[in-house]
Amino acid sequence: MGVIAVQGLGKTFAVKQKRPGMAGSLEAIFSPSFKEIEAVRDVSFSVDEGETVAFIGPNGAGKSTTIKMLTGILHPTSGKAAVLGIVPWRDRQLLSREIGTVFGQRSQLWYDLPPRDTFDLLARIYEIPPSVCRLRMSMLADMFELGETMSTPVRKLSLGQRMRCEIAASLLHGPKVLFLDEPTIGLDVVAKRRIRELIRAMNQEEGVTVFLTSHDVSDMEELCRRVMIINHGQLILDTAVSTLKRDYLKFKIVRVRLSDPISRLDMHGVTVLKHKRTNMKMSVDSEITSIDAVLGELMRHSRIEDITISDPPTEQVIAEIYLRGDAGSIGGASDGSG
Amino acid sequence: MGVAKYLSIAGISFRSRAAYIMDVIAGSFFYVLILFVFVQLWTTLAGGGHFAIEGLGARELVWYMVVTEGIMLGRARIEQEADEEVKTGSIAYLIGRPCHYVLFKFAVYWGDTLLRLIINVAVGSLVALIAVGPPRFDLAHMPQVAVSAVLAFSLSFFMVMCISLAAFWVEDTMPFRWIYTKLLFILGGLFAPMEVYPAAIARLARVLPFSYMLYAPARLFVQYDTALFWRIVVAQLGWIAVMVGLTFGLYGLGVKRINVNGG
Repeated sequence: MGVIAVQGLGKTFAVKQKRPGMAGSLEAIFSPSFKEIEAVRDVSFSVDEGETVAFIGPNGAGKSTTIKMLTGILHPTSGKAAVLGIVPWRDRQLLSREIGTVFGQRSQLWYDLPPRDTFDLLARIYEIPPSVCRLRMSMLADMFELGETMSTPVRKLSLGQRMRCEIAASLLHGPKVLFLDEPTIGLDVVAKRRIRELIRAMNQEEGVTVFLTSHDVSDMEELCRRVMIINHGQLILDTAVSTLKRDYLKFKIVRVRLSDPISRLDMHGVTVLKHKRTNMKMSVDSEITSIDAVLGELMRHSRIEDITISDPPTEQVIAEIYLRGDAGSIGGASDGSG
Repeated sequence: MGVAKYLSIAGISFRSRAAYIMDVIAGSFFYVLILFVFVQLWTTLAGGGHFAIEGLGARELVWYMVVTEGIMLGRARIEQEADEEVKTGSIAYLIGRPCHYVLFKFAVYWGDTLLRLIINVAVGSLVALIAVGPPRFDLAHMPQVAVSAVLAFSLSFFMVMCISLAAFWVEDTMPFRWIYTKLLFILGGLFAPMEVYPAAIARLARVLPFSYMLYAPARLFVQYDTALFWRIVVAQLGWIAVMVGLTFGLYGLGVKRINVNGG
């Protein structure tokens, strides 16, 4: 049995509906009406020990709801789940000793105090013996390069420093599974890369199973070997990252700002998405035309003042999956395990 | 080990509040202002020297106010925070730990309250000493008054927590909090002891929990009575038991309804 086993998991929220205006407010009090929203629908999968799994999807796809059910915060409407053999919502406190959680949009650190105070508090909450705690804290401080950060009030830290502290804090009690909900949200490129490196290191050195949600395809690309894509609450793809890259991530989004305007760019494998005088956004199929070739062609006409190369947004990857008729092809992740 | 973690939570809450000690000190300006107004009122009424209510003269009434306002303004304002946590779903991030949410909030409340209380005791005592002189108080009764005050603060926490947890079911608990505060003003005996109230209202106040949060410890401080102390402590413990039961019951039911906004 996997470290995480999920079968037919579903979650439906009843959201109160209210019409605008005073009449709507009175109606909501005396005759409330609710709309059922199916956030997660019949999701099944299994994660083995030591895997690094990305659970990606656009905003509102159901990835955070799933992670909250797996950490015992939300009760599902249907289905079953077990993390390390524990039913999360039934034995939440027991499970909390075995797992670590990081929610990118929330903080567990005390805002006005240095992170060290939160670490000390967590050591008490998780009842970590002082000798073990000292060693663990020193190891994490070295690994996450926390040094002076540990003694600086959290409110004075950058988002990247804070996130490093958040992840280190969630690892203090030596969890077997680490759940990360949008760990790189809002971070700059350098900070994102550092966070990914650290998560990868924890997976390799301590064998921590990593389950992360993100709407950033790069998180999955750089960190995980297996990817699950969720859309409208349903798991539409469960495969190896290498397979996804081969089949869907061959496109790159290239944005350039040129010194002189050019009239058009005609190249096989290049689709111009936006073009306004000196600014151009294009999708490049790297299997047909290399980025080098595209840049070479552009530089024949003008000097490039600025350039950004990024992965296609999750929405585009999902659209491509549907387009190819692959949605629902789950269970082919065996080659991505481990 | 279980208690140790909650003591640590209270400790970190105290330190976190201490980071803004100047704000807490500045906040006590309102406390001084209220005390000043009532010092004027009671000393003017006692100008002839014959003013007393059930043996409580101007000096006792001012010291009474030092205690009631000290508690009212000294307790940590957790209601807004707890209400927001329930409404926005951020409670979800606190419950995934090996500690109980309600006890976590209780520890945070005490850590925060303790600092405010220390400052209020110092500021209030200074104002009253200058205005009416020292209280007629036997230090031997201090432990009993302290016990009653601790129970008063604890009762206050569970009352407020019950209201905040109602956010699981209602969209806004602000109206409940507003009514609760006004009831505390009136039936809690914030401005004057029960002895000045009409008999019917005083009787009503004694069977409700509000007077056990303000009047009870203040009355024991200005006019100690052992029989009264035991009556008060029994009533406080009884109300705390009721509110603890209600708080944990509401939490147990509500936590299954968590609807985390924003996914």
